[in-house]
Amino acid sequence: MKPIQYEVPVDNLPGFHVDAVSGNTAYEILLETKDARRLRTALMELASVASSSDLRQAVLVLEEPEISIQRLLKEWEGAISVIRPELSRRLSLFFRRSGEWSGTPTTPKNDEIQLLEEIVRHETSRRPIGVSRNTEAHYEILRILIHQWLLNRGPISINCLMEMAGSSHPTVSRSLERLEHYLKRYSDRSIELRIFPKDEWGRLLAVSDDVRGTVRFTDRSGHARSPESLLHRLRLLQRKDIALGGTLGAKHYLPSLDLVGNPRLDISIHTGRKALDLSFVKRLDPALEKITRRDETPTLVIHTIRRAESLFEPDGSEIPWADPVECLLDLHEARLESQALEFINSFPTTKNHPL
Amino acid sequence: MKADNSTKLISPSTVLQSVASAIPNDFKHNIIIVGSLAAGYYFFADNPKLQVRTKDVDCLLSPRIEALLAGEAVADRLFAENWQLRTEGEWNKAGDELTPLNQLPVVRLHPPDSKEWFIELLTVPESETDLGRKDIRLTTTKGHFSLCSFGFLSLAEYDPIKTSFGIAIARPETMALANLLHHPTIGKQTMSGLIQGREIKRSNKDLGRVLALAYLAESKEDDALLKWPSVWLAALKARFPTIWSQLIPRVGSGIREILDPRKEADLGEALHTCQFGLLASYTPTLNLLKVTAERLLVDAIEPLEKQT
Repeated sequence: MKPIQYEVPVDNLPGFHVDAVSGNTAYEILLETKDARRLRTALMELASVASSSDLRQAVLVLEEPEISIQRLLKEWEGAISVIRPELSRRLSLFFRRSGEWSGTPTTPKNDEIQLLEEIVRHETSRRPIGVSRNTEAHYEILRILIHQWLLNRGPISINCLMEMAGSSHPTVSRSLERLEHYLKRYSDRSIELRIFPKDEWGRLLAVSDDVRGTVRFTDRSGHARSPESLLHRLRLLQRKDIALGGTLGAKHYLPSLDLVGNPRLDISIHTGRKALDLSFVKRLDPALEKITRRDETPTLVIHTIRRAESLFEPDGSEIPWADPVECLLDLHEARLESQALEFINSFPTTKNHPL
Repeated sequence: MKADNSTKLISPSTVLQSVASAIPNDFKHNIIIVGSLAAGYYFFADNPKLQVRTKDVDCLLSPRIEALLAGEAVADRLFAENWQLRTEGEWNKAGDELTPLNQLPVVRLHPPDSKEWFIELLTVPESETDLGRKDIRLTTTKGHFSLCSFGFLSLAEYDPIKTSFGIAIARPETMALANLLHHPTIGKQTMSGLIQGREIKRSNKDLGRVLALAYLAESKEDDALLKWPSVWLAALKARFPTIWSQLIPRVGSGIREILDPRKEADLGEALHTCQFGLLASYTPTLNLLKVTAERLLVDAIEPLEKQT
């Protein structure tokens, strides 16, 4: 792969930087854009880049645009029609939808895709996210402590907590200060929760979507595949970084849980600090589309685990299980409040002292 | 101006039974029904409310070595039972011993009591390299005809499904594979007649058929498409023992082309043929067809491509 430079100033366009340059090609990136005007502007900016610099090609890259392909192509054709032909020949539009790359006037080739993915990964890592890294780390630490507490695993050393969370000593210390009221500290520098941290849990529920990077998908074909069919296909992928949560996970830990049927599939992906790659969703069903409105019923819900240790429970050659705390969050997220209460009260710590 | 080949809805079971009852018992084992009727019977036989829109009932005579004898016997029996030569369109008269082979009509016969459908006799190619159209002379009591074969029809001969009427139907997955291989690109050739008032490219009709088969397969059984690659691979190895791996790369190219957003008009034609064909009892949409094509790619075509 050719070297990539980021935020490169353009000759003759003072103050303007292209997102990336590799070889003699400039790249501008738009992430999850739903604004056709922004698309038109970006195409015109790229035309200016192509006419004002020595760069021979200029590519607009759209990562998971929320504009239909027909609209994209219409915008492209509209823009190209007003640009001089010798300039328009140097422009391309590449886009990735549901993990699949396409483009006009050509589709990116394999070596180009590698480059595009690297550029998009870089751009994604710079993008502001809904919650800060510190908040995210705090809630990872909270979930690890609740996991220890629910399963009655006893105290955990701060070093071990740092390793499991993948967080530095100052980050863990800050988080523990915030949880002080709920903690029991021991002389060997280990700690454990003494009670369930209800307030912190409530705060986590309020920001759970952002903290867990929850992404929802629903069927757009009118001929939806069942959660069982999606599960069958998930098994075929043989991924060990993906675990089953939601109602299936909760039923695994508590078979008697009062739940009939399985309206959706909840899965957790252990990404650590890497960017979430959703291209596998297409293998489950190409008819699945990302939704953002909470009043739509999802078929597939994906949560991200960013801590160093996944806490997944292996199941031989089968798909692992997400840990009980993730399953509990999934039940809340699915508005299955009574089942969530029944579930949390089924663990060694809570059995005799229900919450 | 092209004639509109408008068709009426027919019941697959009723038509299959009529065909089977007219075939001499000794030759029933030589008959494999292919095309819409076979698909209709496979998917709708247990639901009389579901019908298909087709005019032609394609009867594949198999194996090739017995095809000529079986073809002559079947045609003569049908003539004896007052089945009538189809008079619409060209090729409506039998030839004689002087008629050149490429001028002979194919056997297309209406049943005595209906002009709504007709049977057409075909056979399978002689060898795996015989990919173009080939005709052999069929001599009957009513004159000379052609028994023709096309390249990928031999796939429909692979592991057919026996019906209770004594004749067999081709598997949906092998019919789909034959169509996919026949159309690695969207060609310009159009159908000889209009389909419900529209001129349609042959590729779009046949690729639309593939999508209809895939949709019906998924509707009949969850995850059905996941089973197609193994049947496809076995059929390819059986019918094209030396060139099967060269054929695999062309299986998906037609579907990929029709999925290109710039080819939406072609997908629209495919939809039209589905609406007035195999999916006449459903309400298919452009989006549904697109999703079905994507599902077919992911579940069947891509796994097959990994076999090369």
